[in-house]
Amino acid sequence: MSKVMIIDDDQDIIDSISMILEANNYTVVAKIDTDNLISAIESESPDIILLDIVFPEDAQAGFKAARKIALQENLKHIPVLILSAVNQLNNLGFSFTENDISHDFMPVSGFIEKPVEPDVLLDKIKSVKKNI
Amino acid sequence: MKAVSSEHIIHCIQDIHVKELVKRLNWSVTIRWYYIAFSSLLIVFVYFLAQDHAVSFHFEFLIIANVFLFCCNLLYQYQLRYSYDKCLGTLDLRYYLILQIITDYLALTLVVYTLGSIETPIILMIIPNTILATLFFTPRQSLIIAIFGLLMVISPLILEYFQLIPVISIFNHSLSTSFKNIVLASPTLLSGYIFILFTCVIFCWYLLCSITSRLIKNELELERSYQDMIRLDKEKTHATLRSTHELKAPLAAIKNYVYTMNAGYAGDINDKVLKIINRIGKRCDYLLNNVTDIIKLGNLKSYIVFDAKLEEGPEKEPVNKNYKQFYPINIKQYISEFILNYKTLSHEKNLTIKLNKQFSDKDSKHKNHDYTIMANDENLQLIFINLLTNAVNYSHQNGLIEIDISKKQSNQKQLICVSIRDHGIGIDKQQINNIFEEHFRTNNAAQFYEGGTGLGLSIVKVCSQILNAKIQVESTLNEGTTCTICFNMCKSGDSSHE
Repeated sequence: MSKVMIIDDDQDIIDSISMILEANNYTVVAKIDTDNLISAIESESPDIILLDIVFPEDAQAGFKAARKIALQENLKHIPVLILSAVNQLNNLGFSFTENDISHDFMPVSGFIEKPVEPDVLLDKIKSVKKNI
Repeated sequence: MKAVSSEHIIHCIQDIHVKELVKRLNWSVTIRWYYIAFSSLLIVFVYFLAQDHAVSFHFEFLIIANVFLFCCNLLYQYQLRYSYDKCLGTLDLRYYLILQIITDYLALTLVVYTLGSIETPIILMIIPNTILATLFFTPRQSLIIAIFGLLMVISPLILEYFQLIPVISIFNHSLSTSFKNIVLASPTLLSGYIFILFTCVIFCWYLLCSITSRLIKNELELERSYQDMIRLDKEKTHATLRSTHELKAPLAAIKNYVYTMNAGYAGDINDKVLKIINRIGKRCDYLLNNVTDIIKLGNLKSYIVFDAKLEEGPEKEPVNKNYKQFYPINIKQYISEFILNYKTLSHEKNLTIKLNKQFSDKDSKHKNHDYTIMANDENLQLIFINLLTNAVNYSHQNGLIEIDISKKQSNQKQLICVSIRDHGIGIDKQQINNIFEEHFRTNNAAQFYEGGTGLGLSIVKVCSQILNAKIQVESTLNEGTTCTICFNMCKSGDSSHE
């Protein structure tokens, strides 16, 4: 049974995604901020991380967290999927695309746009798990 | 020999002051080449003239001055290339400028001595270098440079006065030589002459300083405004990101619940409730699209600035002042790839998207180049996604969408026009002029497709303004609509702006 860690400031997103994942035999742990993130990940040892970008205190907290995780020798193997309502489909001049993924700038495994259909979410998680 | 081109150097060096300084240094090198060529011709001419009239003249000094200038200028040209390669800062370039000014003063001193330290007005040739100095040095530094230059060019006169060097002149037996002898014999006259020279140079320096300080002040103000603009743009982007997130996040959460319930993760739901949930989902989609479109439109509009001068003209034209770079795009290839990527849009209604013959023609490379426009992917994508989405949304089931590309000539401009034609519900002719208005939707469009925001064509219009393209819509009610967007064809020179 794989463990998914959802890091999102929106409790409703955590709840709805948890319902989908738990029904598909995933164990879900959640965190609503990026404080003490590294120790939280170390103690939970998730298989996949779903990470939001915009948090109340910092609009780029998600990216910063992803970079922190990538720098940890013991955590960098965990795939991180960005989960955001502001992404490449918006074309707003600050949108992110899969092309922006890079070791230095955006060390993540992929993007998921919120809202996300259950099948899309499960497929994305499966494809990331396959690549581990 | 050609000096290093300014554009070439500017491409490397971004800083505005360095750019300006390099430009002036480049000019200075070029002007020196012209001077060397002109003075060499003059020496030859005067030489033959002197031969005919049996006049003795010290050509060797002029030749030495020219050879000296030639060698130094070669070196400066190499230095300019070096400054381009190494992207030197303002400080290093100023050293080069001082070196160039000193070289000019040395050559000028020799020329002044040869031609006559009083007889010719050549002494005033220190003024061009004084201009350069006032442009790139502080007033104090430029004054020191000007006085230093003057001291150098009058040094032959002083040395002649103290009889340390022989008195020579281009005019051997003329009145001016007698005048020179009188001046040299009288310390008062000599001091008066030097005083007048100093006064002239200091007056010129003061005049130039007051002009250049005003210019520099304006330039600094412009620079400050530019920096403010960049800061505001960053703040705006940050605020837009925040507001987009704040507006979209709750809707995304609601929609996520809808997906979850719809897929049965929240247990069994009766049909009536499921119907209501789906309606909630659709309204959520509408709000999500609307929020995205409103912010998108606001963002795009900030890239358009209407030039007041052009508004007085017969045709009001927006001036593109966005800071995004345009690059050559082969529109034919772009549309082909775009349709491949977005073909799924047509699946729900089982629509056929047909590209005209032009797209499948395997033209030569040269012919394909004719379909190149200056644009960027972001604006093109917004234009075509909105036009194609409209064509799909307002087409009937199993309908046909035709995409056509053609070339046109308008006002001596070569245009490339892309048309998207649907056979859907069409638009009433009386409403055609309103369709670009924000949030405008015709009644039959709103009844036929609920999800529209009425912002798609407004976004297309703004994007086409940014790209300097023209959009035209032709439609017949119940027959279909054709949207045509015409881009200026890329001139052969434009392709290098990538």
